[in-house]
Amino acid sequence: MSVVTIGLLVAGAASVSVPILIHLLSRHRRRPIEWAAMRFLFEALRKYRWRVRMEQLLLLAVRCLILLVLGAALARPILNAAGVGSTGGLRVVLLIIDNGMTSAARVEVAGELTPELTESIAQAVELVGSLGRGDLVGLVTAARPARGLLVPPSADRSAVIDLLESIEPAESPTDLPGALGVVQSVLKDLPPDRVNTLVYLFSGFRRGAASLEVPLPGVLVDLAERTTLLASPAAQHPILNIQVAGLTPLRGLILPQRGRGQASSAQITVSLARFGAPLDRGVTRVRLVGADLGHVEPKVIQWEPGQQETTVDFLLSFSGRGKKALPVTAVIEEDALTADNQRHIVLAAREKVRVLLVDRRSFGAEPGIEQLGAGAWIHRALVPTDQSPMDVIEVDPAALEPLDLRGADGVILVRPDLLAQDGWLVLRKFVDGGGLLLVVPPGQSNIHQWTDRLNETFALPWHIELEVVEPAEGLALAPKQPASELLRFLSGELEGLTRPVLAYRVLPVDGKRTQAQRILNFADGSALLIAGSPRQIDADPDTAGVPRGLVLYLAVSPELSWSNLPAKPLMVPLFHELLRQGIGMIRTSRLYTVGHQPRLGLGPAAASLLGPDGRRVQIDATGRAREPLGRAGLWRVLDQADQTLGAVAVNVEPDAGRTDPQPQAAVTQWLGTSGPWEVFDPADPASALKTAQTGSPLAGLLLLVVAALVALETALARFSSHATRPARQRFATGVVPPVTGGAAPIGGG
Amino acid sequence: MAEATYVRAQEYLAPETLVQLAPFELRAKMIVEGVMSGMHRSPYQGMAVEFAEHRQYVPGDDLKHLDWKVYGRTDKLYIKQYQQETTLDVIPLVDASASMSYGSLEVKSGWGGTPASRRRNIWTKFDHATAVAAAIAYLSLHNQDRVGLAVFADELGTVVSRSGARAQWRRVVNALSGEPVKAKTNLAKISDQVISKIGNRALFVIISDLFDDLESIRQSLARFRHRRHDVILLQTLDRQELRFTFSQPAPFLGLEGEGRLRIDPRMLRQGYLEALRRHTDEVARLALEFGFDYHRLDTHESVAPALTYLLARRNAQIKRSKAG
Repeated sequence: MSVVTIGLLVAGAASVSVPILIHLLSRHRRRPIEWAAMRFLFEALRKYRWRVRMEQLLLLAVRCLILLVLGAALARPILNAAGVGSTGGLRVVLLIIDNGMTSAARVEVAGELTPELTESIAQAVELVGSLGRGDLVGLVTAARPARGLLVPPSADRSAVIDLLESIEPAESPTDLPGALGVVQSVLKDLPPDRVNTLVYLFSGFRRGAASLEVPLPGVLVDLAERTTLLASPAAQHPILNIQVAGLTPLRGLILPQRGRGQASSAQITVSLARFGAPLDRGVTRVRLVGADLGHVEPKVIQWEPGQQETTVDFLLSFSGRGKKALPVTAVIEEDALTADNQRHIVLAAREKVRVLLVDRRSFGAEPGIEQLGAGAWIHRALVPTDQSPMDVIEVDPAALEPLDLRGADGVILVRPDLLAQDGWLVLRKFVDGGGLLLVVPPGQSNIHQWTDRLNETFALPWHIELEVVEPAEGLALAPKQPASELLRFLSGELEGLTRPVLAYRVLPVDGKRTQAQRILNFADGSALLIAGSPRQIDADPDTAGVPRGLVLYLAVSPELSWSNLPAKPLMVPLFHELLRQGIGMIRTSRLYTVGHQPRLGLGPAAASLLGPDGRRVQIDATGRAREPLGRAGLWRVLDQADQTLGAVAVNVEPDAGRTDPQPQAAVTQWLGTSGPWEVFDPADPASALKTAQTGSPLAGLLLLVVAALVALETALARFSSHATRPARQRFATGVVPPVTGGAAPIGGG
Repeated sequence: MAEATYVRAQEYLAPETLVQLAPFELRAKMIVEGVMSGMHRSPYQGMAVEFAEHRQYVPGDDLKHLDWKVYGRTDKLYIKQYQQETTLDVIPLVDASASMSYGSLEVKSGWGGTPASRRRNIWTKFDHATAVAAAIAYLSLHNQDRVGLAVFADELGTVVSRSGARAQWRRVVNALSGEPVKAKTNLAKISDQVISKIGNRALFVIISDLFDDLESIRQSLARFRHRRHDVILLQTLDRQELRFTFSQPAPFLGLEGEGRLRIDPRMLRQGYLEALRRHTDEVARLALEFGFDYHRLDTHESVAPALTYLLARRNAQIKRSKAG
């Protein structure tokens, strides 16, 4: 059984103490009565002691019960519901207010531009005002995350109206499935006597709020018998909205340019989209701003009629030295929706890329070129000259510790066969924190049992064979390689670079049992280089789009006994690009959107996030924000001492800003999957209430119980007070007949 | 002093009381021995004016008492015997125990009362008892009877010797002007003390709330009976004691040191009234058993009607016994 105004229930329960207090206080405030006939009082008390005590206890219990039941009854509240001075009664009205991003779209109402949400709230307020005093109202907001603003429903209409008027458009998209889920749980928690429930859905059902391609869950179908579902009509006014749909850097990792001092540069592509109508010819001015960004000349985009998307490139120059995070924001002019007129990104910048090479160190004289191991070849490839942006640190696989990985951007595991169990866990943690791991088979082995540990540790959908395969003639690479972001900058020359490469020994990937992104393929179709992200242990929807790190596997060991790759031109650019692009991809893939409660993976030092509006969100031990991020913008990452560790960019979801109106029929059909919705008249949203039933058997029952208890209390009080008029006398017929007439009667006049 | 006594006497004897009591005489059911001629019958027959019975003549009898009419019809000699009208000793015994200080009625003008009651402006049971005693004393003196008085609690207090003098009534009134003492009633002990002081038979009027043990009351009445005294028991109770109409819970404090009792009087009313009724029933039964009169007085009612009723009833009983 649920109650609406829990305070009244508590007050009712607390008021039980009132008669007890009165009883106790009244014991001490009476002046004593001097009395002569005490012997008869004592005699009566001896005889009636238990009876009197039981009567008092019973009376006290009944009085307490009256207050308790009355408190529970008022908590509903049911007085009005039972028809005492009210036209309402036992109706439960749940209001779903779509305050998603598109609700901020301004429409013209009475000659003024007003957000659609304002209009919805006005309708809802009118509806609440027309309810009876016994009706209960619940409030659910549909912006992600959908939440019950007033759940369970309350009879305090003024509080409901205050809450309604405090609702503002969110920057997150509409989450109607979530809102319906909240409504479903509220309806299920209602007591069975609440048979008359109405659900009002206030939304414009623009495309950003209602994705008609994704069917709604049928959560209200089972409750349709006792629930009336009413939705506002779909908005039909076209609203033109231009948004910054994307902000894509050419490279996610910014390194200083050789020969340009300490300055760094980057190329960024800004994507714009137009929604709604009319898509006429137009002009949009795009600016890029950032704390470490010098002056960037704004660019003007000319829209052609009907054009919906466009891009514009910016070449940026950063002045900040030593900074690892370079925030950039793209801004366009104000339009119908403000929230998507900006987009933010935090670019990763390094003076040098720090790479950990996990290999068994060799001592003594340097071997000849034929005997150089994979680690040595990779080291040479990464640091071919002193000007290399790579900083390679060699670590023995048996001694790998978390401390070694502090500050590292990537790890190249050359001797996985020598890695201890703890070492695998250290690498898993590194990758989960956003690191890049490249694994190559150890050149000395033919049987590679370490692959099982790789699969177990990273839960990768890979299957790497245990045994090395040695093609007779050497295996060439495929002339046509798959498109890959990792080798995007080599794509133009990749065919020429891969042509001379041959593999003599391969630790192959079972292509049929492996789901991985192919980066390079052999000519026979088998994989030379694959990439993948570790599978998340917990299925967390808020982090589903946030890759934690990247694991690469090269099927040949880069030493001459396995392949001629070390001696070919592909070797140096391959490893440079894998590391640089891989790290950049990981950094730029951290896309946080408004309304989510993401697992951030910012490391153990991160304690909280400080939003652009000054709001602070704590980060729990697992690295997850304790509450949804409610505003788009650059959020500062703070440690326990409130020192800034960095920044993360939180953006609105591009689809949330789609202001295209949708046909009413399509919207009605879409809504129909969740329950039998009807469209209410926005000019008179309360009209549906008039046909609603009133009354509740439980309400009446509770009042009857109270009335019965009151009657019982009256009877008990009268009985226990012995206030009845006693019989005239029994002396007339008693054992003492002589005294009649003139004798003073006992017990009455 | 005399003036003060006079004023008090006036208060004790309200005019309506005297008017209502005037037609009655305080006749003893028993024939008592009197030393003065009065309206009461004497067992000493012969000189009195009222015929009693005939008996056969024996030598030595005074011939003037022969009934010649009987001799003329029967030829037998019978002597006429007469009962002598004698004086009556009336002794009110007024209870002045602590329980008699209870009252729930404001003093009304003309009701008299003790200085204590006037101070508290409460008409107590003791006030009522003294008014009754004064009325009985006045009536008895008016009938040429001798009147004494004893005020008691657990011991005899003030005692006024019997006398038929005109000044006796004022002495009685003076003796009644005291206050209750902080002691319990002990009738058995009092009756012993009183009886030891009274040689001849007398009419004792016990005016008390009789909040005493039934055994003590029974012993007391038995001793009076044994000495062939007549007794009128006037149980004087306050109306609140008779009806017990308190409506609010309150602590009750015993006047005779019973302690404090915190109760809801509405809850105990029935039990209390039953206990009181049992006690008064038993007292009345004891009185009947010993051939005494019992009457219960309500202090909220005037003294006169109750006494009028009592005296009328006694006269009727005496006349019935004469007729029988």
